[in-house]
Amino acid sequence: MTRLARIYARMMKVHWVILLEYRGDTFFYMFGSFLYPLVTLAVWLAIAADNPVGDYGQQEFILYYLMVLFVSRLTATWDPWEIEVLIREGTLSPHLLRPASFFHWRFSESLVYKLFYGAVMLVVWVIAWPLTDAVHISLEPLLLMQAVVAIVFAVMIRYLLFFCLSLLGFWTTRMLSIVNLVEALGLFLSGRIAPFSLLPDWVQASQNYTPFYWLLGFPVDLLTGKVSETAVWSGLGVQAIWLALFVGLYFLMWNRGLRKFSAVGG
Amino acid sequence: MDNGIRVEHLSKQFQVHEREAGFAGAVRSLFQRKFRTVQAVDDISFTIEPGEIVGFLGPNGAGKTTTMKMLTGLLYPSGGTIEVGGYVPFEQKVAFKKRITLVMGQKSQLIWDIPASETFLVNQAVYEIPDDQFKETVGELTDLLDLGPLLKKPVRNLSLGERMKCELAASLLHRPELIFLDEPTIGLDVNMQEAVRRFIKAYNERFHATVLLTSHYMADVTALCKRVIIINHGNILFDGDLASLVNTLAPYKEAKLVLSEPVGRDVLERYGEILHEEYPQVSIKVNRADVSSVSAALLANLPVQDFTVEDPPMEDVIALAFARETA
Repeated sequence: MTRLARIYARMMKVHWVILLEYRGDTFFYMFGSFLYPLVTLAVWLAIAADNPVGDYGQQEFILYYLMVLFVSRLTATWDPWEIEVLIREGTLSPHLLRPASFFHWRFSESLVYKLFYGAVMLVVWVIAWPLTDAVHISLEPLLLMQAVVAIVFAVMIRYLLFFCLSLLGFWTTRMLSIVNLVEALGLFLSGRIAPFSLLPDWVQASQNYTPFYWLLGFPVDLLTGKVSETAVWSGLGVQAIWLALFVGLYFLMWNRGLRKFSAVGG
Repeated sequence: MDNGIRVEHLSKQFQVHEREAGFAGAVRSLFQRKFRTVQAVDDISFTIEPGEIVGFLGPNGAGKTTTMKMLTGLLYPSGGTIEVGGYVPFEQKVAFKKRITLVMGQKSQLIWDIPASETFLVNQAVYEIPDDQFKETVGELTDLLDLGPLLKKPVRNLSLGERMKCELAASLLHRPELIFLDEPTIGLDVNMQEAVRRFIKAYNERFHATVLLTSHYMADVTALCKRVIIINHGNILFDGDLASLVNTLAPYKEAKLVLSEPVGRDVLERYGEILHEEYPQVSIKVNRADVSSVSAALLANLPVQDFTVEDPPMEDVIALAFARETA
């Protein structure tokens, strides 16, 4: 365990150095990712100008999309694009020779960016708190704790989902198209286009058998106080099940994929 | 633990997807995929003893890199068995990975955007190198490879040769006992090639490391390897002493003369086959057995200003090995 901790500490330091080397890019990525929720918010503000839509008036929409912006920035991953290049150019080999899993190298990068973006957003949140009540959420300790756990689960599940999708690159050269398809599906089924309670019943029912709601909609609903107390616990349970499933899928795909990769040549 | 390499009946086949050129070909391949099986390595066996430096030679596509990748666990063999330092490579055990290294002249492990010293630190953590050993090794490598000024510059700003030196250092920080070098001097100038060779030799002597090396530069091979394995089309053509390779494949030497006045071709031909003639320089192929008698005759009968007898260039000997295979 201490070995893994040392490896993460070192890898995260190195990724931090790279982040600073590319601070311009880091900045643009951050604000680029804010555009989509803000544009969607603008649309909903126009629609809700006179009458609320369902439970959502303008005030609720603003809070909802600020939380979407917060959670989706923390859960964002870009591994498929990075891993596609490594597989295509054969530069994955040096990583496979090292006595530490390639996963740790990628995940430690993701963690650095999440911590950095998370810290920046929290600072902005604290500054904004006394200025506008649009950013106010319930500060009840239990709820905050549950929200943190839900976000950590969402981060892990989404990370593993996209890491597993990246591993499809071992089998097909069309991996990125599949990733784009899943992203598009997630746009609709995660609560990004509209709050989940405003979507048709069949979309709401999708949360029973797809992970998307649990990656974004659930933590956002939790933060905005839309989830009943019993539903919170069962929701965290569902997240835990998805996480366990994806951990299993990761090990399966990694071992099979490596064999496949090594059969066709690295 | 034993640092040797044992390979028995190793083979590797790839399925290659073939596509015809042009638009029609692309459409056809959508519906009907054609596969061709390529036999990259075909039933090869060899043993390398601990501490040996062996040159692994062959033209492009001969199966050298494929074999190297199987020996390091990157590729899963289609058949046969491999034991490297007491491990089965493809099991990819951490203890195995800590004992080996593979340096690929064309694929870098260095992190592109930041100084190489950062990659060193990552390797220290990953290979669990104790602090004092790490400092000592970095110090030694810095001296041997003259890395001092390079370690602070981002890797992307290094020249090819500078990057290769950092690459070698990064690959050897954990003091591997089995070293696989795939074209370690590619793209380097002559001085740098020489420095890298000296370094490999020194490392081998210091740590009694086993080294398997591929190179297109014969100078690498002649400077480092007593033994060579020549491979082509996935088969071993020769495995043995460099010296005996030259003796068996090229049982002749080259007599090189500088003449003080022109001599007719018919006269020269009496001493052996003329390999090259451009007055005043002539080279003549002389059977090994006849070297002393022919040399004496040449010196006695011809207007010779300068005279040397040499082994044929390695490139020619290797070319002979390939030619013999196809014959």
